[in-house]
Amino acid sequence: MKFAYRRSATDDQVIEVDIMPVPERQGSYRVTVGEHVFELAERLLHQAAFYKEAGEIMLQLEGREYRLFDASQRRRPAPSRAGDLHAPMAGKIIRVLVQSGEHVKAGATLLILEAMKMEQHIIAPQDGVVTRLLCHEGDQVTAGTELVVLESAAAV
Amino acid sequence: MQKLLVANRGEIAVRIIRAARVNVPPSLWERVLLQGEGPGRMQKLLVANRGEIAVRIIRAARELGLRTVAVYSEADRDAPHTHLADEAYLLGPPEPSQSYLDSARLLDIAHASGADAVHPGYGFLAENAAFAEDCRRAGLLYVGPSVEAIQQMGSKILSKQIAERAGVPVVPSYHAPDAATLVQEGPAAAAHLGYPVLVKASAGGGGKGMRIVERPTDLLPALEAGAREAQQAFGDATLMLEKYIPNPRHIEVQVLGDHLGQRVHLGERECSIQRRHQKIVEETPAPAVAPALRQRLTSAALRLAAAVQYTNAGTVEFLVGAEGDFYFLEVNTRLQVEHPITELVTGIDIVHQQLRIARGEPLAFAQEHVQQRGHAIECRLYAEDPARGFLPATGRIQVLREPHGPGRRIDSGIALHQEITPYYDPILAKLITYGATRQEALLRMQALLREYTILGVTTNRQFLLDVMTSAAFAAGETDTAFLNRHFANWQPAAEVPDEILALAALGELVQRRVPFPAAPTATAFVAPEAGLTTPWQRYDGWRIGGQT
Repeated sequence: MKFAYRRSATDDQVIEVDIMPVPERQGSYRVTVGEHVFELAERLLHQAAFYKEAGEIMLQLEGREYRLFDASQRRRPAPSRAGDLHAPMAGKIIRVLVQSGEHVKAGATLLILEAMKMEQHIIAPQDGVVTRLLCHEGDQVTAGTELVVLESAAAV
Repeated sequence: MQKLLVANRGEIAVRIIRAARVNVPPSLWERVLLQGEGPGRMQKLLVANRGEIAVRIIRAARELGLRTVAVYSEADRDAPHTHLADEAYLLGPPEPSQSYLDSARLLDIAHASGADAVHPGYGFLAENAAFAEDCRRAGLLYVGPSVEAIQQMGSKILSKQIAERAGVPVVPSYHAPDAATLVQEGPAAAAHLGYPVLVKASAGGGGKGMRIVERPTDLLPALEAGAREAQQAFGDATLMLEKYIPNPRHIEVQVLGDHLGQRVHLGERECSIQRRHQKIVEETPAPAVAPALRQRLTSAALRLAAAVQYTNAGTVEFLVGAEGDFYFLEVNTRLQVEHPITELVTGIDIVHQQLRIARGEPLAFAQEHVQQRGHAIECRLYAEDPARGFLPATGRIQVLREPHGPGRRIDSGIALHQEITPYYDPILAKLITYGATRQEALLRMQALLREYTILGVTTNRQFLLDVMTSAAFAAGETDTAFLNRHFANWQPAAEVPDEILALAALGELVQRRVPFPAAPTATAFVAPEAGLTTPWQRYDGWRIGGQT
C-alpha cells in the first residue's frame, strides 16, 4: 500500500512510502521510504501517539513530536509567522495604530493583538502604504486571519 | 479537659504545651470566634478559579469533607474543574472581565449556592483586597490572608517600606504618585537608579507589564506599553521603576500563619528559570542555597510575615545575587503555582493548611516539626510555542496521555477533546517529580516529559525536556538568564526522519484495517474526518489503564 507525504505544508517534495506486511512474521511490516527500507513491528505504534486531521499527521515518539502532511490531500495554507500581517495566534485586537491610506515605515507597529494576557505587536515588514485594514479594535480573530494589507511604497 | 497545667520545665514543657495547643485553650477560641471564624463554620467552598488550580483546590476541600462549588465561563463548560465540583455555576462570557474577574457575580453565586467560604486560587482575584473585603462583608470566609495584609503586601511601595522596617533588604526603586508624574520624573529617576532599570506594574506580579529598559530612549515606550498591560491585567495602570539586578537567582520562601499568631516557613523554592519573567521550572531545595543563606532567607521571610501579622499561606520572593546578597522582591498573598514541590519535600498539604487556617484552626505543627526530605522539581506545561517567541497556542486536545507513577505528580486541568481557548493564562498542567536526590528527581522528570503525550495543541513540552536534559540544568546553573544563555534560539527537531515517515504509514495502515470500535464515548467529540483515529485512542487507553 502506498502513501505520499510532505515534510512540511509548503514543501514541494513528495515522499512516497510503500508498506507491505511481512508474511512470515505476523504484525511486522516492510516499509520503503526512498532508498531506505525498514521493518516495523506493529507494537511500536503502542509506544507512539498518532493523530491525523485534515491531511496533517501529528506523531509523538520517544518524547519528540513530528508533523507531516498527506500529499494526496490539498495543501493547507502556510502557517503564518511572527512579523507578517496575519494573526500569529488567536486573540483579540486591542489597538489599531494605523489608518487606511497611511504611509508606514518598516518596523512600525500596526496593530496590537492580545491573547492569554500577552501582547503581540504586528509590525510592518517594509515601508509601505496601508491599503486595507481588515480588523477593528475589539475584534476576536483566529490564528492566520489576514489583518492588514500593506503595499510597498514603490508599488503605490 | 479544658486547661492544662504543665508541671515541668525545659524541652519537655515546650513539647507538652505544643501538643496541648492542638486543642486550643478556650480563651484563644473566643478570640478567633470574635473575628467571625471558627471550626464548623466552613461547610461549602466556592472555588473562584479555573484550570489545574481549581481542580487541585476542589480535591483538597473534598478531602476535608467540604462541599464544593465551581464557577465557569462559557469557554469552560466542559473543563475538568466544572465537572469535578459538587455544583457548578455559569459566570458569563469567556472574557475574564465578564467571568472570573466579575466579583459581584461571584458573590451572587456564593449566596445562591449557600457557600460559606471562597478560595481565590492564583491569578484572577487572588490578590485583590477589594474582593477579599467584599467576601468578608458578605459573611464569607476568605481563604487567604487578611484584607490589610493583602493591601500592605499588594502595594510594591508599602511592602518595601514594611520590609525595610523589618530589617529585610530591598532593591532600590522609584515610585510616582500617578502616570503623568512617572512620565515626567521617570527619566531622571532612572538615571539616578542607573540603567538597566526595570518597569513594573505596581499592582501585580507574573511579569505582566514588566520590561527591562537598557537605554534612556526606550524608557517612555516601555512606560506606555507597561501601563496598558497593567491596566489590562490588574485594572490598575500604576507603574514603578526599579534598579535591575543582572542574572540573579529567584528564590522564594513559603510561609504559613494561623489566627493565633503562630507562623512557620516551609523552606525555599528556586524559580530562576523564567521566560518573559514568568516561571517555567521550579525546584526545592535551591541548588545554590547553603544552610547559612537558607537560615537568613527564611528568618527574613518570617520577620516580614510577623510585621503584617500574616495569616494563611503566602510566599516571600527574593532576588539572590551572585555573592549570596539578597533583596526582598514581593509577597504573593495567595497560593503559589509552584506550591506542590514544597508539599512533596515537607509532606505538608498547603491547601489543607489554608482551609484549616481559614476556618480558625491553629497550625498543628511548629517550625521544628517541618523537615525537608529529598528533592522536588516542577515543570509548567504551557500551551505556547517556544520556537516562536513563546507565542500562546490554541487548539483542541486530540491525544492526551498523563503517565502517573512513583515520584510523579501531575496537577492537570485539561481533558481529552478540550478546546484550549485564547482567553486565559496558557498553563495546562504542572508536571512535578520527587526523588531522594536532585539527580533522582531530575531523572524522573526527564522520563515524565518524554512519556507525557499531548497532540492537537502546541505546548512547551519538548522545550522543557531539552532544558531538563541539558548539562547546564544538571549543574544547577539556574539564574534568571538561564534560558537566554542556553536556549535563546531553541527549535524542535528539524527534519522529519525517514523512520517517522515509515511509522506514519504504519499508523495509517493499521488505522484503516481496524474496524470502528462499538461506541467509545471519546469519539462523540471527534470531528468527522478525524473519526478514523479512534482505534489509536483506544490503544492509548489500553496502555495507560483507560485514562483517555
